[in-house]
Amino acid sequence: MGKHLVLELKAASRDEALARARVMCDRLLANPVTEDYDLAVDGGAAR
Amino acid sequence: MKRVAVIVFPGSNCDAETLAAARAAGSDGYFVWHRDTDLRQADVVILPGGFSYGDYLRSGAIARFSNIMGAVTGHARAGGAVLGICNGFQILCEAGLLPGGLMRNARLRFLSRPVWVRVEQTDTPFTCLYEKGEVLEIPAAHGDGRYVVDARTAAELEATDRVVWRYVRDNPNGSVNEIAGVTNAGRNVVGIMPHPERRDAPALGGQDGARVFHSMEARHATQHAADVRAVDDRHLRV
Repeated sequence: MGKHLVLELKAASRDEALARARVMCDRLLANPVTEDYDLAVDGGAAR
Repeated sequence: MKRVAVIVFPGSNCDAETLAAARAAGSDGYFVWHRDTDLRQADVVILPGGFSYGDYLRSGAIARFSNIMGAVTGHARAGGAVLGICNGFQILCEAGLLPGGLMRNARLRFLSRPVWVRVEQTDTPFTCLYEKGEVLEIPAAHGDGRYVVDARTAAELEATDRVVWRYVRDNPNGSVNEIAGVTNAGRNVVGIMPHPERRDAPALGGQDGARVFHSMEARHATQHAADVRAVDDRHLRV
């Protein structure tokens, strides 16, 4: 169903990474008119 | 004579026909490259069909971030006429200038054949020369043409007469309420999935689409005529 996207980004904290990824989803990666999305931060120093 | 800007994105492929159709209808038409930021005093903006940016991610999703889209949005918000055809319709939806979105055809295959649409509304800049209820034969060529909106928005579109064209005979792509084209609340931004520019001369098999472009010019004439009538009381009562 839909798409599975993996992004790598550098962020100072898990919260910052999540916030930035959420903006990307809202603005581009998902179309809220036709799609829902789930978001998870994984890996790196954020753990 | 209206100034008609046809926006060219990387991957647009109906730009030349669209410009030709606008010029054939008497407009002063010209191309505007997506990297530009100036519409050069356009009266009407047309986003043509094609596969802008390869349709990556979603059709229209990347094009809406193009430089020129800031000016297109400004033009639309100021009440200027904007038409999106096929990929242009998808871009307008992604840009939030039209409600809804366009998803993969219900049959999952690219659709390339004539479709039949009924003109539902004639008070837009692109349909004012049609009669309500007229059925047009226009070529369709799309993979992502299934118009989707939530039930509440669909009901609102119907209640406010914003469905401009509706598929008849069959629903070729599974669109909600057989919607082939819609307009915004201001009725100045219009999107259509099939290609009127491909059916605007007898040599192309018919001219059912021609009046989309002639309407742009006629609306100007009509407004002018209304101004003249308003000067003369007797004519106002007619």
